[in-house]
Amino acid sequence: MQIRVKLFGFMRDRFGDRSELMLELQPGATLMDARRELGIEEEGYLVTIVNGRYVPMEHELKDGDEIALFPPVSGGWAPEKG
Amino acid sequence: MALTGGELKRYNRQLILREVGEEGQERLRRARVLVVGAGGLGSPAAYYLAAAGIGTLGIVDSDRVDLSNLQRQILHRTEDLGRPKVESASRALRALNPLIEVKTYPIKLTPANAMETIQGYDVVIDAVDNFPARFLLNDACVLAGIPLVEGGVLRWEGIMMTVLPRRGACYRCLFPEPPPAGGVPGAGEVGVMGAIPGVLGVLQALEAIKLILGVGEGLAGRLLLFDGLTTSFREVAIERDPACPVCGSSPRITSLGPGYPWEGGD
Repeated sequence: MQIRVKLFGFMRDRFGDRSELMLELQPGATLMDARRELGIEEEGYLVTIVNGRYVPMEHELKDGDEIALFPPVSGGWAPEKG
Repeated sequence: MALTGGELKRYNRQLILREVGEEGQERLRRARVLVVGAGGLGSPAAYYLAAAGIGTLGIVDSDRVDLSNLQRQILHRTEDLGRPKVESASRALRALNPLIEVKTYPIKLTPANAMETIQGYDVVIDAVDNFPARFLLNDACVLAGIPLVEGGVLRWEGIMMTVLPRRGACYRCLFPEPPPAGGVPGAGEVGVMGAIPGVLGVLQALEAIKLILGVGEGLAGRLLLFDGLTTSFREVAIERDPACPVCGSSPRITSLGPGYPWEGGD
């Protein structure tokens, strides 16, 4: 099945400077499977929203679902200031 | 106390709004709002809150004005370089509206001082520039039961949400843990267009004003994503997470005392 992933913020840079990509997953795949496919399963601070709703990792995806992927952002800090 | 002639005139354009009126203006005058961070978000937020006649405005910031701030931090002027930000912020806010009280806190928010700093405020605006302080402020507001208007910006984008403690999702329901060091860049590395915190900071002020007046619909339970490059707003529904470390059913964080996960230094 096909899942559309909309990328926000610097997630765009990470996936080749595009604003969305398509994932091909097996029927019955969960949100965690999609995160694994995206290579972000270890990065719990990155948020994945399915069809505009916050759902648990075990949530089963359906063909045509849309995942929004975004990081938290803070502000003007510079690395030397931490 | 009834509004004075000067107040009736100064606030006329908002007083004549059906949702405000003299009673609403008196409510704004009685209100206390704390703006944490006098930078890119805090500048426009505090400026509009002062203009609207929020009776007591608290400003927290431990930094001094730097030349690289002035591209977006509109409370400060070139002549303020090197001054504590709370001083230049206070001067600008009092010059705009001498009828309000501005309280300044030239401190860095830490687990040791967060609860006493936010105590007594009706609404807190998160305008900080780093993740440890952002998570700390969320936790402090959830524990104290004070509404928090969250905002963050980077490059051409911003996100915001309103936290109504234990009634709606908090920042940790969405982002349970701070990102690891180096996980998320800051504007010091990748930049921010000055008008982006301008947009978000003004929206934060508007959220606080609505909360105080009790009008309209706020951003509680809704995460707003603003993309300045395409001039588009998107929103995402957010629900409370029962497993949230601070507002969930069996929270791991119950105070800011010993054992609080803090990596922000003294």
